[in-house]
Amino acid sequence: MNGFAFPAYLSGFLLLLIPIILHLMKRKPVVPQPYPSFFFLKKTIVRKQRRNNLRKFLILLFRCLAFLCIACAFAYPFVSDIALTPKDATILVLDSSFSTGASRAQMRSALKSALSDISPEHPMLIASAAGRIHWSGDFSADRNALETWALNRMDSCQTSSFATIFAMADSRFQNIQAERKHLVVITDRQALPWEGAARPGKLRNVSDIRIAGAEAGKKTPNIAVVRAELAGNYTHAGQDLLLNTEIHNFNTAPEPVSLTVELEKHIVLTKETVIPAHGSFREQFRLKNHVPIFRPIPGKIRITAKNNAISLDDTRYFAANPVTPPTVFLTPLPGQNPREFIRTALTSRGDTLDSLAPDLHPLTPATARNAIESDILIVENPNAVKNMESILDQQLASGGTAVILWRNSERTRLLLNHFGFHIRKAGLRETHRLELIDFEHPLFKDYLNINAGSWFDILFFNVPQIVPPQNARIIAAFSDRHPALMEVPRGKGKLFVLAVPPDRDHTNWQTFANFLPFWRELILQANRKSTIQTEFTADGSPHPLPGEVASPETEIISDGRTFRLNTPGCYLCGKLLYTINPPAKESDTTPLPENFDPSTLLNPQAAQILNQNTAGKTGILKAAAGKHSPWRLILLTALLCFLAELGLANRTVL
Amino acid sequence: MSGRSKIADYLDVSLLARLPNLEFRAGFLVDGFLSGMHASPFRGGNVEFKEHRKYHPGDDISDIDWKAYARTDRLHIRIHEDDTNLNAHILLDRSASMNFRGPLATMDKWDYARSIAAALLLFLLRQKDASALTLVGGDADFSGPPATTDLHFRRQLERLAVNADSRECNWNSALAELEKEIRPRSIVILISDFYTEPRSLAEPFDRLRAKACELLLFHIIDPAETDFSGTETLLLQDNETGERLALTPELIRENYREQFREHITALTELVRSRAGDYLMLKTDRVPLDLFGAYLNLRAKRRKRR
Repeated sequence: MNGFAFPAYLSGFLLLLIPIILHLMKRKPVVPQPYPSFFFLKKTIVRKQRRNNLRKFLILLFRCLAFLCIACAFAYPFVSDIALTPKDATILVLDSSFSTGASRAQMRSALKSALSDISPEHPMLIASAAGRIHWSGDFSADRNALETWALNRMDSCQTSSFATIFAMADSRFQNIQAERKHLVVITDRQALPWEGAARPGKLRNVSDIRIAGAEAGKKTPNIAVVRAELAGNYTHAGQDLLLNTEIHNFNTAPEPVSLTVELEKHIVLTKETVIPAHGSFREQFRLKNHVPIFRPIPGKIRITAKNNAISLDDTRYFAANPVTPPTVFLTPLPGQNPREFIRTALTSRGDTLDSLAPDLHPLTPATARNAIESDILIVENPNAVKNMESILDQQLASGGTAVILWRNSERTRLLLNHFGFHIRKAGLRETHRLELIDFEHPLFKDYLNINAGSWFDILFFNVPQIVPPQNARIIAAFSDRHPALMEVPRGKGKLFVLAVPPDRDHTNWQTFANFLPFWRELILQANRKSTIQTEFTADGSPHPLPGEVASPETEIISDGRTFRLNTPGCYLCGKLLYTINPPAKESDTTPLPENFDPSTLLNPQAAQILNQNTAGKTGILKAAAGKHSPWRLILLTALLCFLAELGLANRTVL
Repeated sequence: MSGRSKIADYLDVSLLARLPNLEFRAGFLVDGFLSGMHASPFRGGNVEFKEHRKYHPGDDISDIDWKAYARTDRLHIRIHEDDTNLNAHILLDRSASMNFRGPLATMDKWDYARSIAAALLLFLLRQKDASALTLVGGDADFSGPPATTDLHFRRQLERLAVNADSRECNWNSALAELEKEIRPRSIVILISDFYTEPRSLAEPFDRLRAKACELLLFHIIDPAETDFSGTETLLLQDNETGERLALTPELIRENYREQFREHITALTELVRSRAGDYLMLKTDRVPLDLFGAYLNLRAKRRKRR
């Protein structure tokens, strides 16, 4: 179907009259001018004048074409292979989740059957639901193109949900003027995608909805590994690894299952078990680590079972990435040992740090270069090294964490000024308690689950009034509302400023039970190596990673620096292993109830709404939207015509 | 720059156009020319005066008066009194092509040519040269034998009071007709815009030359004819034939100018190869050069005698 989105602009064709009238007016002067003799003129005039006539005709032609093209471009012509007001329009929602693998043949057949009705009077559109939603484009009558597009998207490693896709399809139906609008869902009848989608009356622009694909009431047998995670940190070479696993039987009968665990292609564990109907098998395995070098180790757990139609979720990948202890630099005060409390807190063995004791160093001129690359730099004595500001700047710029402890000295004042802090009063001889704590901050988040009250009992003496910079986040404040703990983003890192040094002259915080966890949590948050997400679920979305991606088991699937999360496996990027696993919930093959009626999703007033939409003048523009339009080409032609006219008319300026 | 040219610069052709009759115009031109004579290179400007002067090295020895030398034993140059029997025939083109005035000109070519003819008649009268005027159109309107009387001059002026309305200017038949009237050794002056093939004039010019006649061509041109300016399409009408032609000057300008140059060159060569002279006179300039050209030719003729 060809048409114009704004046919009113076609009246611009009247502009053609301008060059034509000008041409006719100038074509031949009416009043003759006397001339003495044609003695010289007659010799050349005939040939030249013929050329002139041709030139004038070309100028007129180009002028007319230019105006014609401009008017035409404004009218926005479009070419479409469907009728402007088709009788029927259908959107095929294709469930492409990996659970449909068992019903692939039926779904393919259903797709071909649905597409057999396609025609310019019955255009169709396909939406593929798997992780992200993909559309085939606009409504089309090109059966082959749609079929090819759909068949290429039937395989995926992702889960599907109809909640969003139905809303989008309903919206897409608004853009087409059709008497009847059909929604066909081609699926394996798994109940999962319908969660949140089966809201009655949701679809306002759909005439009817039907389900095609797998047979109703038939359940797909499936057993899946739904969890495989390492417990604890991998901190040294040859360390045994603890693997938490969970295998689920979605079938209605107990199933014998054989499982195998591999570490870097070496089978390190095999086990036979029987999983009860609709039950799970959970166990923690200690895996013997045969890799003598301290480096990332890819691993996977694989099961084999008889009644198991879906194979993708039979394997689950995990990775053991080496975790090195955080490097901490401390600045000692000369002549005393005020950092005793902090050092004690950091070196004490607790649940969280038992295998990850921080690597503590004193900050001296000799160690300044290493301090820049440290995870955390705790500055209590700014005079420990000469150029403390520079070291802190570099350390923060590279993504480290720094903590400055207040001490009433000119050097500390200057250091804080460097980072935008202003000291209003150095020390108030009053006793303060904490009055405000941001428990949303990662440092304090866990205290809400334990006991937050103890924080407000701590006493503080001789505290300063510090005015933080604009971009500072106040995490805790004293009872006079002056900040006690502040966080400032700087470079890629974070700077914390603690308004009281943890010594006897300023606080009794050391005696509280939250003192040690606070410093441990700070160390954990600041550890650069432990904060990188390495486990992903296959959802087809791109994820930026810091470097080229290589897979020890499969081929390289990186396109530059973006990692598409669409194929399960272990992938090495830089010094870290990343894992992608299929979404566990998709393994649940519980089918839709046999009596499920999708027409409940339709709005009862849909017919009335449809009639209103059809009666309304919605849209040639909507019909034109997304269609091929040569308006750019037409505008370019207009420009070329103008240039040709300029050249022929021998004009040098516009 | 000669004195004559300077005078021409100061004389406004519009002034000439505003003069009420041909006699005044003739007087204007002749007086204007004579007022610049002190700087003129032409000997014999005061042609009525006859004298002897001392011989100086470099003078033509044929001009030495040997009788005077015999009497006085001194070398004197004899300045000849000009011929009293010199005949000048002025042939004026009265074809309709002369009825053209371009945007830059203050008078049309016919008025300009008539003024020139009248000025020449007056100039010749003052030099006691016999003159005759012939108006050339489809045929020649011969006025009779040349004469030097005031009455004759007046009659010639009256004859100029006609329009240029002839559909053609047939130089061949006119010159053939006049040939028997023109005495040998006459000066034949042609005033025209010469819209004719120069080759066609070769034969009559040769016949005149055979009679030892001197030829002088005054080519009257309007500036618009040489420039041929304009960008818009024009509908032109031929003054002679009434034919119409639509054309765009800018398209054919270069070609036109080229042909015009070739035409001028051909005319010049035609005349100068026959010991005559050619002078182009544009209607936006006061035509004082024509007298100089006449006198030059006259002097050459006298020398050849």
